[in-house]
Amino acid sequence: MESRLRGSNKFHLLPMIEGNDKIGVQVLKNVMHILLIDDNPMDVELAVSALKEVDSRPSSTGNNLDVKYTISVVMNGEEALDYVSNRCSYEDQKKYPLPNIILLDLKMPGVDGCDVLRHIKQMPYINRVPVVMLSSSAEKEDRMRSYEAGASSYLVKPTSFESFTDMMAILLSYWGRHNVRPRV
Amino acid sequence: MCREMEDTNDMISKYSHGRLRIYSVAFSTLLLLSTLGTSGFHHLAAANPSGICLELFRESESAKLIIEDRTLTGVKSSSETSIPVTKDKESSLFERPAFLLIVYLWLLTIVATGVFLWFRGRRSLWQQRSRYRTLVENVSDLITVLDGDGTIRYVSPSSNHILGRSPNQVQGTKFSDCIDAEDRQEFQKLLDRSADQLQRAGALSFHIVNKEGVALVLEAVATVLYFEEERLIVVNFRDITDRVRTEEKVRLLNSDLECRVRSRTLDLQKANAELDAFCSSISHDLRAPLRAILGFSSILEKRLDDQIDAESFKYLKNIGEAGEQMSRLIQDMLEYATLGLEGIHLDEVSLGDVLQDVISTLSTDIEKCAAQVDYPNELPVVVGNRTLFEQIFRNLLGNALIYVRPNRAPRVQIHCDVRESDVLIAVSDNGIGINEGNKERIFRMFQRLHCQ
Repeated sequence: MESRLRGSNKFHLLPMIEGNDKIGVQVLKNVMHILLIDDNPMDVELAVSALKEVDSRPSSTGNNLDVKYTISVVMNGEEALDYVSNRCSYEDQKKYPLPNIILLDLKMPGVDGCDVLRHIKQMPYINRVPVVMLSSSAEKEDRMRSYEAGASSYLVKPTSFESFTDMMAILLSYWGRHNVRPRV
Repeated sequence: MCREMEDTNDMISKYSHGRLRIYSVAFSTLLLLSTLGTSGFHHLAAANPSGICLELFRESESAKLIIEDRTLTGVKSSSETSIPVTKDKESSLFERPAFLLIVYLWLLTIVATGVFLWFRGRRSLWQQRSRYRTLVENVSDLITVLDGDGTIRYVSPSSNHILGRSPNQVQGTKFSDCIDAEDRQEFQKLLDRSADQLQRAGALSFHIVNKEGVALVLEAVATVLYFEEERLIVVNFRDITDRVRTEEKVRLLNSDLECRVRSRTLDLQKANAELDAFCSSISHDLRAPLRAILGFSSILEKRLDDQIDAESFKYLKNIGEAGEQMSRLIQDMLEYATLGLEGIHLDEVSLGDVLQDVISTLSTDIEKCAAQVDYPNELPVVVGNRTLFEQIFRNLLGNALIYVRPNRAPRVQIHCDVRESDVLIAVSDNGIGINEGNKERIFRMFQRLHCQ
């Protein structure tokens, strides 16, 4: 498991964090690929930790989901749009595959979550990918504008790590196992 | 023939249609013919002033006339004349005296009525003229009659106080001379319009400065008037100076008020926006680092569980607990800050339902500490805000479950007392209670009297 951090352009990519060690980079057909867009490196770290925590939960508790996933992280709106368009530094489609689900932070400097969402919803193919808003804000206005822009779901980041892990478990279970994915 | 009849001393008469007609002049002078001439008779005696007596008898075929001269002593002379009476023809309706009398009376009535009506008309006309004159002369509005080019033909006496000049001084001058130069064109337009449309032209207001130098605002309405083949325009002017001034004052006051309201609204909106931004900042900016503190301390706790000494582990736990507490405080503060933002809506709230809901949400805690909650079976319906009632009950019950005496199961009692228009709800518990000196403190924000 490897992570790279490009400090200069705040790009933080954790390519192919495998939900299961047996899954390789190239084999993505039955793997859920998550694109996490968040400007706060700590939140990114927490989200990744929470996802790992879901995996590390013992199977006996019934919490182990056995959902295979990979995750890519971008840390601002512009990069997110570059990623989904496979342009600039994201041309390599094998390295940067199109996601099956996008976790999008709402409040980001520059191009914010809603702007990214609106752009995504105007792009062919990628507009079918479910976008789950992951925000610190529980405000009505933020919720409304997210859903109006086409969000599939809106989650408020809990302060407790335990709750965050639970949320990630449900997220993986729902979007990775139960949800029938659109063809992108 | 006529001449002969006039010369004779005999009475030449014709009796026809019941009427005796006397043709001889000499004889007629003896008589008061008017009395004879009118109706049929059988016997008639009369005397003229000179004493000549005349008796006339009507017989079937003739009339006998006896004339006696009684001017001197007794009967001076007498003559008797027999007048042949021609048989009456069947007289026509129009010649019958009764009919003629009716016709005369009828005509007389008509003439009399006509005369009466004429007099009455004249009187009414005179009265009306006098009434209108009084009206025009006493009205405070200025009534003028202008000709086509605006020259004043008539002006009501109110010109004295409106224009500052008497009607005599004004008549013959042009009205537009009194009007402000700017408004003259408009005034001429009003005259033209009323002359063209042959109807009342709408009100127009304009400014004048009268002889006394007082600036006035007049409102004018104009109507065309035809008088002796000449087209004139009646223009009524009303002094609306006071009204205009008052309106101006009201307008200024209103605009001032609007300005102030707008400014206050802006202030309020700004304050609300600031509060929103503040809340948003708390919920987003303050929570993000808190989440990191809690998250990473939690991860560390797990990872270092068996690698660090107990004291270090306790410190790590302290970080987590302090973070949790801060999270709660932020939540409380947010709730408090957003409490009034959307306005508190009052509604009919069933206190029984509210209490049931609160008890069911707290049921896990109630069971855990084996608490007993006693409350009346029926609670009244009151007017209030359901969310706030819920919060009050939740806080009171929640506190009763937390702040307990050691080794004693919490017991909460809820009493309800309905007094006329008020309802008193009392919640009491067997917990640690609140010191008398601290009773005010509990109503301050974020106050806790005991550590949990």
